[in-house]
Amino acid sequence: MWNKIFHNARVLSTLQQCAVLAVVAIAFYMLVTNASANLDALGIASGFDFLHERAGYAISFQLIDYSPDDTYLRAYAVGLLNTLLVSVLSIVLATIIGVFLGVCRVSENWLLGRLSHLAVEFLRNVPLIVHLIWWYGLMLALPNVRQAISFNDVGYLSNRGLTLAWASDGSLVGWGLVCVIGGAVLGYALMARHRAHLPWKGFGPPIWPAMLTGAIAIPLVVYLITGTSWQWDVPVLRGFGLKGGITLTPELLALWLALSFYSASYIAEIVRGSIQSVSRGQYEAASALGFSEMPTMLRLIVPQAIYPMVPQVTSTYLNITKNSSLGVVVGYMELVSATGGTTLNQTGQAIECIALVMATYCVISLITSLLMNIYNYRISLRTHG
Amino acid sequence: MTVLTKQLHSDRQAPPRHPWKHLATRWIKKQLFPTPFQSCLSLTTLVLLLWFIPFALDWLLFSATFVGDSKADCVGDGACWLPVTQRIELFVYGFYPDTEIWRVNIAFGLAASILPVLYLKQVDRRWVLGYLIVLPFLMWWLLKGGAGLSEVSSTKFAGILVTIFLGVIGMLFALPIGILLALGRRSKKPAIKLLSVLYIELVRSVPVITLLFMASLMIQLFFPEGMTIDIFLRVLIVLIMFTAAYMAETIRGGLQGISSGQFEAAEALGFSYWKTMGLIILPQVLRNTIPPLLTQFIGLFKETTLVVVVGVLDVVGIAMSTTSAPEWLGLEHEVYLFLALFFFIICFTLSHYARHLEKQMEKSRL
Repeated sequence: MWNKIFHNARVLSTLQQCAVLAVVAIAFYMLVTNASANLDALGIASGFDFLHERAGYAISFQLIDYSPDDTYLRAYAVGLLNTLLVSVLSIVLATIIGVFLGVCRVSENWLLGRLSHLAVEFLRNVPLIVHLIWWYGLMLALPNVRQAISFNDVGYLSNRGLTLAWASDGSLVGWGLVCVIGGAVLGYALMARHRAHLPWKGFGPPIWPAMLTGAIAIPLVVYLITGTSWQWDVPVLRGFGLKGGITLTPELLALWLALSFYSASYIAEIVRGSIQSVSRGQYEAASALGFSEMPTMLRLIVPQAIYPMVPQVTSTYLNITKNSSLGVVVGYMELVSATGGTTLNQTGQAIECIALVMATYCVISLITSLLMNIYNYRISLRTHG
Repeated sequence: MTVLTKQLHSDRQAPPRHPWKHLATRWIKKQLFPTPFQSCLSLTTLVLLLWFIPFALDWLLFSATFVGDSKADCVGDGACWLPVTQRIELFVYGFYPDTEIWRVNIAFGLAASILPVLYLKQVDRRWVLGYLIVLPFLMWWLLKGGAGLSEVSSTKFAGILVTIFLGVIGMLFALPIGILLALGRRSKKPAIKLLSVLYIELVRSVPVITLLFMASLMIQLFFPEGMTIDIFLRVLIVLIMFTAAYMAETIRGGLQGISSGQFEAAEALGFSYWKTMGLIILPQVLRNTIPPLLTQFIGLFKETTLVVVVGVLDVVGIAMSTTSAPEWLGLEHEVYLFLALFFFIICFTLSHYARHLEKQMEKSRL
């Protein structure tokens, strides 16, 4: 009878799975008991209560008000915002450089094609950390504040970073940004509704003018209605430093530039691959119909190349967000160096801090892949429906 | 009529006297000056190049200083390569004892010999596989010592030695784990599948640095008191575990490329699961995934530089300590350029090799 039971495939499979689960559970149990014993020996109370204690360390660049007297939780928020800030900045710049290099690579101009090929290969075969320390070295080699390179007296570049004129009330910039994005979304929504009712799909007026109008008009209207006073805070050289304006620290600049140039090479390859994946026949058909070079590219090739590009570009964007953790190398206080570094070293709560950082990254990547799946679903409806 | 005479006329034209010259001008005209816009582009690029190349060459080579003892010997306007040339042994071998350097050289040679072996058709596959399995242990033994060789502390490991060591050993150990994870993810058993998916997705969604932090600050907490693992080994384990998760996805892609007929044929012949996989499916998958695996190796090779964050001195760590050393202050461009060229040459060669293999495989499939 035993023989029979053990040769039943389903019984065997269940037993196997139980064995694997048991091994994992035992391993976990041992790790947890060891950890709690070690933590007891070190006198560290586990749990997330430490987040409400006073942080006591300064952060050189912050988007929200923060002082060493604030809590670790606040420091975590500052770190998270810094991560998001450098990621968004790098995503924008990397896309611009990447698309430029990618288009150069597929251009018919032999010289341009070779040169951009060389640039892409160089940028992506050098590790990001080398890019980063190099840019950081360049930033620190800039002239000191008193000899700062001045841009028409509204911006100064020195070894303490880039100081720019800014709104004297920082929160206005946030609201302004909300208005601009809201306006663009409104323009898009109105135009999309208009286009949906047209009898001929795909031949409606372009969307971007409506978005641009919205993005300019809504902030203007809000500005006129509320009557807020917008004042520029122009940086002035005083004593040994610059007073006023907003300063992007050398750490932020170095990380931003390094991430942008490194990731741009990946985006360039994606752009090149997608453009080349459009079949040769499309070009020939366009030239047979008498389209010239530019309209062929803009109205025929790019719209077809953009859909296969989106998932790959998204994963590059996620990589940018993950790679922004290299800020720890130059001391840019983002998520990993604030919570995973300084907070961890001060409190000794290694497990909690690292779990917090990892969970945050997991949530970011989950949200992104959720959006990606929605997008893919809609695209598959459009192409097959 | 007119058309015909025109044609006759053109036929009678003498062929160009210098065919190569004609070809060259035609090529230049077609590739560089087809339209006014393109001509402008080409001219601008040419002018920039003509200005930049002499300047760059002069700085890099002609006015540069290669021989000397200290920064004071760098008198020209060019690059000062002394921090690299003076410290080249430190860059390559780290603090490895001078008398034992031959061991490092042999280890480098063994690692480099993988590439030709991978694509020599004459060598039996089983030998290649055996070599790949033995290699990491052999390298470990050569570098660390023990069993006949004098022991070298891992605190002496630094420089290119660490970079290549972590890269090659990490890759070879990650391969079997990656295969198991990929098989687990495609398994029909829900518990195994769930565990594999959880592991792969978790590791892939967090930055490597957090995993390295985990290795340096957290792992110690999970072991019984008094048991310590050297930081070098901890970092190596993290790199292996992290590469395995990415590799699992590559191999899963390869598994999806195998037609279901192969599985069915094996089942019809009464092969068990492990025999099907080991004898029929995996050999095909591994052969097809060699190019993407090489690309992954390039990725890992670049990622190993992150170990500097947790205090392991790889080649980047040595470079950073060189630029901050008082006697070589202010020479970061030369040092970092050397570093960049080192990675560029290795990664570029490997990626070209991967592309070459891919093309060859496509040809053989046709």
